[in-house]
Amino acid sequence: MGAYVFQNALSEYLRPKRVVIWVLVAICVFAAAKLFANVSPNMSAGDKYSMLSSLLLFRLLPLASAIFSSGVLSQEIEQKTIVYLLTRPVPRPQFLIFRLLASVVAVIVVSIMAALAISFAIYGPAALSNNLLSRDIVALAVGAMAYGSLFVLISLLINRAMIVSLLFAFAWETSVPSMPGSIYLLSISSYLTAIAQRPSAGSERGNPLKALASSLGGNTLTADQGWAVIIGITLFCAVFGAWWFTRSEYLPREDAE
Amino acid sequence: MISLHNVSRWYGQIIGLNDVTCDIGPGVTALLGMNGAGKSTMLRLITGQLRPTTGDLRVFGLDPFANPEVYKRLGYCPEIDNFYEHRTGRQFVYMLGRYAGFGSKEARERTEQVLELVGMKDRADKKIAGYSKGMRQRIKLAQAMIHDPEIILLDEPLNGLDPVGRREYMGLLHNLALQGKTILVSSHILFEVEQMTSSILLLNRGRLLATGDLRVIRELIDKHPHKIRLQTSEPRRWAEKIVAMPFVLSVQVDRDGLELQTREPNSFYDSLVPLTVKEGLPLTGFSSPDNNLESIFRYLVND
Repeated sequence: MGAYVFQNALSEYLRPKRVVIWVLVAICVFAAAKLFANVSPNMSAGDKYSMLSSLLLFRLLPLASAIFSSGVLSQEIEQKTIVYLLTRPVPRPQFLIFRLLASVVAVIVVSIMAALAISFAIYGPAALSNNLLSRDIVALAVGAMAYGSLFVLISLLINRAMIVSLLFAFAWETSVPSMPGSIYLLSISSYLTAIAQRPSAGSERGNPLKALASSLGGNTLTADQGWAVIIGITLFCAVFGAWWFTRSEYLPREDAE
Repeated sequence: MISLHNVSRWYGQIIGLNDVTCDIGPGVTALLGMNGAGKSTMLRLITGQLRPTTGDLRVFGLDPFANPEVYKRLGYCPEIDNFYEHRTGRQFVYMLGRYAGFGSKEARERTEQVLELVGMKDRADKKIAGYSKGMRQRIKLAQAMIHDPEIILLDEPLNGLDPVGRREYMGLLHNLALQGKTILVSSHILFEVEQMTSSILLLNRGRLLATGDLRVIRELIDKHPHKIRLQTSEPRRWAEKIVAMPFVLSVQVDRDGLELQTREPNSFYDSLVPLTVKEGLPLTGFSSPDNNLESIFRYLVND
């Protein structure tokens, strides 16, 4: 049963019309990366990739998560089709978790497309041998889980979850990692940067561009700490969300008001 | 099968269902009430989408709220007209068959069976976005029946169906009832309900006004003078004949016809044919302003 819930949701998330939009996004990312590579001939390929990955890829990840994962339930509620699904003999936690997993897979797919676009723009045919790419893919996968479970939880708790999630993705995740002191610890992006093993801000002070890029991931967290926190966030949000979903009523919006 | 005991449901300050107690067993039962009477609230409580604020509700002896054990044996056809518009009817029913727990092969077989049953087999490959209201109703019924449930709840299922579709739909419900299934149909149209069943639950403003046989309700209605309006070009000639009838209480003539009150509407209707055929009195139409839910509620509340 869970396998079908997953498969059905994934086919919904990766409908051709939706995928086309993300392919266009990846093409734009490729174009931007290519342009940057051409105007920065003195930087090493690794530095270019690292900077573009921080500036584009780890901004795209929460955005894609906000779009896919906050729609796991809220889209069904807004379309009022939730009634067909919730009156079926699928245990609610199972229903939620498998739909969440489908959204995570969809986010991973579109994020990897963007990662490959950057890698191909910088390394050309040798893109797949870029060792930073594999580290990024791991960070993107766990990031998709963390953001996904957080955004699903938000969508369970409040109306208009998409707006809140997009604000979180754009405003919070962009500004908080660069803030002074320990405030960066409040951002998921900081832990993902640690997992991807990006250089710290302290070593890049001589170069403004490098400093900008690394400041977005410039923290003193270790990869192990990143893993522990990301797994903790994912588990907490998923378990709490499943519990909340099991005991809550979901009605077409006008009836609930 | 379904048991409600002092069940109430509040939406903030507004009451949706007020202290309802009833049992619903096999056969067709109609849930009758005007818009806003609490019919959909009651169906949502029975289908476990809502929890009662107070009282006890059991389906198969179980609390239905988010209970997969109940959903295995219960089918629900909601009033909403929302679907996955980009899917075909066949894909939609198949999908919900899979959600009901069937494997791919069985879900496919059952999909064909229920599509055949609701008369949609040949039209199910069209996208739902292009369906008429009647086709949508049929597809909704198909998804509710795909797992052959013991209880089927239908919220205003006849809305949008043409007369032929209605007759087929009612025939289908009748056959399901003969198989021993419990069918609860909500409607706000008395005439519609009378054709489906005589067993009713009458809701008004969240309260259960009456339960049981529709004929009993009819008798309650018939205790009150029944208004009948005749449309004729010769109302005075009609009035002369009608006032002589022992069961007619009053007659009021106007330009387009006349309105009378009687305690025996059936006797009056029996006498209409002889008057038009033998006496040659012209009659262009007749109606009963009292033969609607509003009047029934008025009578019952006044009682």
